[in-house]
Amino acid sequence: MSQELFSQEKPFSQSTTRSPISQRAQDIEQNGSEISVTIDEYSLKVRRGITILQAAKQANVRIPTLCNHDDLCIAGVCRICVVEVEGQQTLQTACSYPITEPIKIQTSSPQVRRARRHILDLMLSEHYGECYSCIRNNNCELQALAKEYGVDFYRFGHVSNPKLEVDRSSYSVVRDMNKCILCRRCVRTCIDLQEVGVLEAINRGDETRITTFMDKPLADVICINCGQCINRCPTGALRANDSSDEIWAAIDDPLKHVIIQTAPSPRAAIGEEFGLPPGTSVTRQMNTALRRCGFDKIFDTNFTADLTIIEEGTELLLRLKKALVDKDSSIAFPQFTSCSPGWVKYIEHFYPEYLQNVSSAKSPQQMFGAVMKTYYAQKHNINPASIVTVALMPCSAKKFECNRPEMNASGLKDIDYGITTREMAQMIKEAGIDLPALPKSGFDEPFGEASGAGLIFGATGGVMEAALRTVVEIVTGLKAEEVWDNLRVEPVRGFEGVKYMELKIPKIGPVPELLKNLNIPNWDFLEGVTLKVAVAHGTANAHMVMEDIKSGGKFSECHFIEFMACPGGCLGGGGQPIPTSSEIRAARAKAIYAEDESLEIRKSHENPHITQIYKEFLTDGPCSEKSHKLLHTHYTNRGKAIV
Amino acid sequence: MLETERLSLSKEIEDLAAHFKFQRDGLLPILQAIKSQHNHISDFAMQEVARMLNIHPVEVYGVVSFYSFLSTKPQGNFVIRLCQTISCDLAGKDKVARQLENELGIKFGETTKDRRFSLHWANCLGLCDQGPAMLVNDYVFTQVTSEKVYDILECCRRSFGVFSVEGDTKIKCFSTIQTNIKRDNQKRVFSSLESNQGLEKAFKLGPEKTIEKIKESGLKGRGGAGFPTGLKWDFAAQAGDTEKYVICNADEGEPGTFKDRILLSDYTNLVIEGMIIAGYAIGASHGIIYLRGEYSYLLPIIQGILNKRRELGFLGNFIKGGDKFGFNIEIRLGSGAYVCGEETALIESLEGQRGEPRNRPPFPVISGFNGHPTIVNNVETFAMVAHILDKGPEWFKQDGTEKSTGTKIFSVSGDCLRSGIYELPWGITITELLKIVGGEDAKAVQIGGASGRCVPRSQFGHTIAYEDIPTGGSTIVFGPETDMINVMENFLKFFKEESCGQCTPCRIGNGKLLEGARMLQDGVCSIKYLRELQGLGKTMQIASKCGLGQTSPNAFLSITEHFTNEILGKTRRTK
Repeated sequence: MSQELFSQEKPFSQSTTRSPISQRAQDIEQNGSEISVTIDEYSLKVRRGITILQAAKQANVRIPTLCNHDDLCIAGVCRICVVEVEGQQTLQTACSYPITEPIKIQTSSPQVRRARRHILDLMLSEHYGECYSCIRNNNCELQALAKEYGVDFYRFGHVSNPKLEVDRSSYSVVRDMNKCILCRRCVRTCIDLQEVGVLEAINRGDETRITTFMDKPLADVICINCGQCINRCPTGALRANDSSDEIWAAIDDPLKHVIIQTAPSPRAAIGEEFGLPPGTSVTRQMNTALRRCGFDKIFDTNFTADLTIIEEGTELLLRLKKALVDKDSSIAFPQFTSCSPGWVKYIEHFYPEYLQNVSSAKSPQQMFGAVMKTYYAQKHNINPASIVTVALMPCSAKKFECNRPEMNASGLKDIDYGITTREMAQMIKEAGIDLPALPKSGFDEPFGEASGAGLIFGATGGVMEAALRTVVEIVTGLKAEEVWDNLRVEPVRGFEGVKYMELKIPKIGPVPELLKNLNIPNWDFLEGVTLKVAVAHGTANAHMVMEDIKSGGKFSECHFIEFMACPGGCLGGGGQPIPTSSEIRAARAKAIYAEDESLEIRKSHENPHITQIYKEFLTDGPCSEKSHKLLHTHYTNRGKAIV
Repeated sequence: MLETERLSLSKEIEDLAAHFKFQRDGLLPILQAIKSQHNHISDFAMQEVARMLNIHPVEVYGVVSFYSFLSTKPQGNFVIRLCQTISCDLAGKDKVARQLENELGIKFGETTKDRRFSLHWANCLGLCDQGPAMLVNDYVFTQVTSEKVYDILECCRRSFGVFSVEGDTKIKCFSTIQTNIKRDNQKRVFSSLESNQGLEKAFKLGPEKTIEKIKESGLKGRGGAGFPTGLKWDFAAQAGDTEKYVICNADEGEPGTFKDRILLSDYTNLVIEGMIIAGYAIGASHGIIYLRGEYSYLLPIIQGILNKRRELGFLGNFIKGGDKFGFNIEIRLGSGAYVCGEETALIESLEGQRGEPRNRPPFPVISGFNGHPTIVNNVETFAMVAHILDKGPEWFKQDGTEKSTGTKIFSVSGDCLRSGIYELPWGITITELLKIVGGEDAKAVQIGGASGRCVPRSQFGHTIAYEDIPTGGSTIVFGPETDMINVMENFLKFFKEESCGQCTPCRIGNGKLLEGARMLQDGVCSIKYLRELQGLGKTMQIASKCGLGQTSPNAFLSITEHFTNEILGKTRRTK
């Protein structure tokens, strides 16, 4: 695979190799010349090859859309964006029509308005359900259009009974195809954006619908639970499998000690659910809100993110030692990160032959669960069986992860419930709380203080950056600040699909006290070594990197690769507020990096609670037998066969 | 499934995929082969195909479920497909259908318990002049009566006739197709022409002048849309790509059309010569004939002609007299999807996708099959080309009108005395045409098939021409007794099934119009609601994605407009 493929920034929609050509972005030569366009009463010049929709945005003319999504290739199927183009007998879809010559466009002529209303009426006639009993009430693109077009009756009737069974088989995603309007965003998300290929249109004519292979339940097909389809569904046809009722029940049970841990990404996004602009960090208001909801303890997942860095970083150093000193050829490189449960399930299905490359360290969520029901329970003398652990995550796949049968290191289910940012916002609203107006408060001790390194786990490249900040200090004895200005490891930041970085280890330092049990006398074997690392986000990009590794390309020479299933990393996760777009994801990332810089401790190994847990509990140090029992896991070869 | 069966199926699929170089555009032929070998395409087979072509299993499922002739459920040894489209409907398909159900003890869509027979509806088999028509596997039966049903089924059960395993000569039941060319007034396509005359002329002229001649002739696409052929070729000729394609659209599916079947069986050479000329003109060396699955029985005939041409040096890497010009043709079969007659859906289908029309622009002449410049022309268009080059544009233009030059081949069926194939000049009035075919007492004529329009008696003075009433040739005559709501119901049912299901107006709109037609049939439709539906029809005409959707409400609109009195307030049917 050529290097150019990775070196330039590419929008996700072009990362695909397999979408039907009809649905791909128009391949019109954009030779930079300008073309005069008239949209309604506005005249403007636009770049040749852009679509009418893009031109209209430039002219501040609103054209309604449904099947169009900026992350995805063009479909042109819903037809709601039709406009009149002078000289054309039929209406044209603004989303797909490329401007290659001067044209005059009418976006609101009588026949355009009538056509849009008819299209809307047709969609509503097949869309089952009442808005007030729908999860997407007030955040539904179909509902918003119905309001915009003043729909006050069902012109062509309305389905009174659901035709299809709701698929609740998956821990993560619920499919209610009775609400589907066949915009095919989920299909394009799953096949093109993520290259997982769970959903596709089947049949034809009025029997067309979106489904899985042979209509099997979602739990039985190769779904990685990333939930990206949910984020792009314009209606309530796709949603996360919600456990807030069970969580309320636990809170209301006086015998239960309910702990919530909050991941870095929800705090940078939950404000959107309360009308705040994307990129507004509300960490401390959220703490107050959770307390008011009734959680007994509010802890920061960043603590176990720091723990992950220590465990995973140690694992990397051990692998390097075994390979370079012990000349053990069975040691697998590159080491892959394991914190994204979508990615883990992806590799279990698509590249099981590489499972030994995946770090055995659990994700921060699961480490937290194991620590809660052991260390925390002992320390505070609480019966672990009465502890209910809830994880607030930006993620739908975390719901699957906490239900993995092997995740019971504490002897109990380590994490009882995963809850998404959206669901938590709903619970907060239900409790009558206006989050933005709340006073600020901190996390609870002893897991309330964490480093900025744990925080940036939320953005693509964050795990790598956190690991580098720690590994470099441990190995070289230098201060990471001396290597990177203001601790910004720029090459692994940003939204490029695949990022690559080389780092020559400038000198070596002494082996720190923490790692004394590892039987590594010195770092001599790392002297002069060039550390090669890479970062990929979105499974389509992961797919490219894995294929490159398979064919012995440059990524096969990496030492460590971070993979995140979701575009943008966790901040673009399947449990985050809807809508999503590259701008929204960029704003969330900005908030996370800004918060990192506002913190005093920004390196995982400097987190005092980390030092403490290794002193008090995991006394044999990282990657010891005890840490393996509690903080490490194993994976399943799932393969691609659907039975 | 036994492990050994799995292994042998895997091997079989791998061999098939290897034949198509593991490329996705081999998907449809691979699936067709599996289907014909195993009577269905199993879960396991779909996953194996996906693995071989490096696509997702659900994509294979999406394709299999799109095409009527592919199936994930095991089918009987004999798959019976009875045509349900309007001409066969008028000819009495309902009685045949009932008798089939009686004899087999199953309903349509089902398979007998002994896995011998499956019973399905088919949409227009292109035998409208000799309906009711039905396919049993690849064999055609025409003018089927309820009485004949038993004989045909016996043939299957006892391996008689066409199903004879030993070549039994005492055949009780033949599959028969009549050609039915009405040989008067045959001026252009059916006039005499020595093989390869046109091609030789083209070689003498060179590509540019060949296109010039076609432009001068004023030849327009015979599929019905009427795009100037010369202009299309010119665009493709100028497109800068070394790989180009010439596609012959032989997916003749428009209800009431059967001319291409005749051209492909009796004038095969003429069509192929036209394709080669087109390839020469635009600089393409690959040709593909996309033959509808319903016409698979024509495959050996066309294949034979192609082989013969190869032997004679008139097809292959070097064509006689062509100065290094080479042209190859392969045949790809459709699998029962009307929408694949739409050129971009056809290309999608060739690429191994669901037959869903593309966004345009870009047009196929710029980006067509596998992204290369591609011209897609109708069978009849290609059949005209050699004549034009041989005898000149002026000769061609002697017939027709200024904007519709030459002649048109009409497929005539319905309530008339002389159904069949006619070559008539453009600009002929409907009255004149009805006189020729013996349908003077018609109350309406459907011009252009299901996607065309229904012309009432009061408008029989109109001419058939691109500038007045355009057509792809389908002409269905409705006698005085015809129930017009039944006609429109039949067409709408057709579109509801045959829409690709991609865009909202066509997918849902046709269902709504059909509901409306049924309300009319039941006598429960208000004028207000009828007007709403007419408005919806007009939206479908301008807002649908492709030609299918845009033309699908035509029949509804013309019938409700011209027969308002007849269709409103109908007494409830007594069914």
